[in-house]
Amino acid sequence: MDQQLSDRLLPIARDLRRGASAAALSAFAEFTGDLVEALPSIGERVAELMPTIEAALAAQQRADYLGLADVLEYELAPTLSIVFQAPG
Amino acid sequence: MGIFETKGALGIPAEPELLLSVNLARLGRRWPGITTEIEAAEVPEVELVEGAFDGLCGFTARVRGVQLTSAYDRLAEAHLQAERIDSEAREATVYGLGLGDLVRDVLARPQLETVRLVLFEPGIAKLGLALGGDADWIDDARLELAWARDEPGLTEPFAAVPPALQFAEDRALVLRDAVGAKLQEGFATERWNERLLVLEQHIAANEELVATGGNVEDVFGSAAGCRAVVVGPGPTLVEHMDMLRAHREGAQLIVISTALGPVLSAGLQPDFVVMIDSHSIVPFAPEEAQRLEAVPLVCVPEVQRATLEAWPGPRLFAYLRRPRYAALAKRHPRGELWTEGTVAHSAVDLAVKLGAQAVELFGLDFSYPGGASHSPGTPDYVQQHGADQGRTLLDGHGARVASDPNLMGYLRDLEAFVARHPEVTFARAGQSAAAVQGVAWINS
Repeated sequence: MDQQLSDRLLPIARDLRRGASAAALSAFAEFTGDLVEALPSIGERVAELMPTIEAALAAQQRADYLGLADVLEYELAPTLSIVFQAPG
Repeated sequence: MGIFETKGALGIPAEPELLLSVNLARLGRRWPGITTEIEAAEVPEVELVEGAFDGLCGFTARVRGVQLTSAYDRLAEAHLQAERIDSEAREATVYGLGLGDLVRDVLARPQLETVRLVLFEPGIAKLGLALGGDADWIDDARLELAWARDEPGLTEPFAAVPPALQFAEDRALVLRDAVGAKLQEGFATERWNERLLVLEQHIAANEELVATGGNVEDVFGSAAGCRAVVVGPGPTLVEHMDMLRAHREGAQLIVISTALGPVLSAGLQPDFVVMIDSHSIVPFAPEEAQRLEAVPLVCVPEVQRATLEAWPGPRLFAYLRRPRYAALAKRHPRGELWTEGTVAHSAVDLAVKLGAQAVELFGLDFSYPGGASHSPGTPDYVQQHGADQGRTLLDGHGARVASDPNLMGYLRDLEAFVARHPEVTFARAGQSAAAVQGVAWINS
């Protein structure tokens, strides 16, 4: 991964807020693929991420793109920074 | 207190009814007609969502699962949305109210002489006036107010509250689609640039076929005054096969290649098959090849060479009005067909260029009636899920039908094409699919 996972979320959130949802959702799909690959490295701390990931996917599912932006920017990005900085 | 029941925490107005009446009174002094309509509108059921993070705390309204703004930092979000308007602009349009943060942010620019606020739905506007705090921006003399339904088209420069588009009322869908397409533009261009290289390779690989193939221009005007039937692979095609059989009599039958399977299965013989998609696959079974030996394939050189070579009949080449055809067109001039991205456009344009006075459309649905993407029996048939409320169009009965941004854009482009051709009568079958302005329904 050439960029910290959490750093990739802010540009996605900004695109969602601007209404550029096609670009944002494409980048989010790429992000989730990379996140899934990275999860084994944090062991049991995966559990800490799950509620936020589920919230993000639910927001995407109901096309709540500003809700998704909030989850990515204010919930998932901070949690990812903590969990991946100090894996269990 | 009903729908406006709030606790006053995290900046949620303690008395939204009072705020609403103050804000409506303000609005009524300047725009009484619009105000009356907002006042009479029903406010949708709303959930209040709070957001707190690192010193930020805020709230927003969520309607039918969709937030109207950020719950954490509405002002930062509005500022980001406002960046779309150039700092030197003297006039600007704001599409959607949200909770009033974007229009307030835009009006904070002293160099703007006019700011036009365009509302997409009265109930959502009412909610914004109730929950968005003291709307003193209403008194700004530079502000103009309008309904999206009354706007003649999109105006640049603009900024938008994206969820406002998702709640657009039926009469505002044309502007909704124009604003939505504009907001996605950068991404579409980026994706297209990636694809362009492949198209250029296909065009180079097909030059020999173009040189030895026919020219679509030779058939332009060849059926002056005719009735043409254009058949696409949309979900409603199979329901109307009997009607198609009846309408085929005495008409030029133009079939989009992906609809060829059901058409041949119904025992119909096309006059032309049209193919412009670079991903196109061979659209017939080996045992059907003989039936197509005299049927011209109207195609462009960006189709894969193997697919073109497999066609058993004559190939009539056309170009699209794109820079990638400029060099080839100098060496081998060919007629042009119109498209804004879908073969449906080219097929309809072919009908008009043949000289058709009447064009009838079958299986051109621009939507997912019954939840299907295409007609059963076509190569791309998929059973879809319903679309969210922002991705719906009106069907021929006035109900919402699921669609997607690409199809919605193609439909608007077709509407513009129809408007440019008043000399031609357009009609179509499939009333459960999205309605196209300027195109009447065929019911029998």
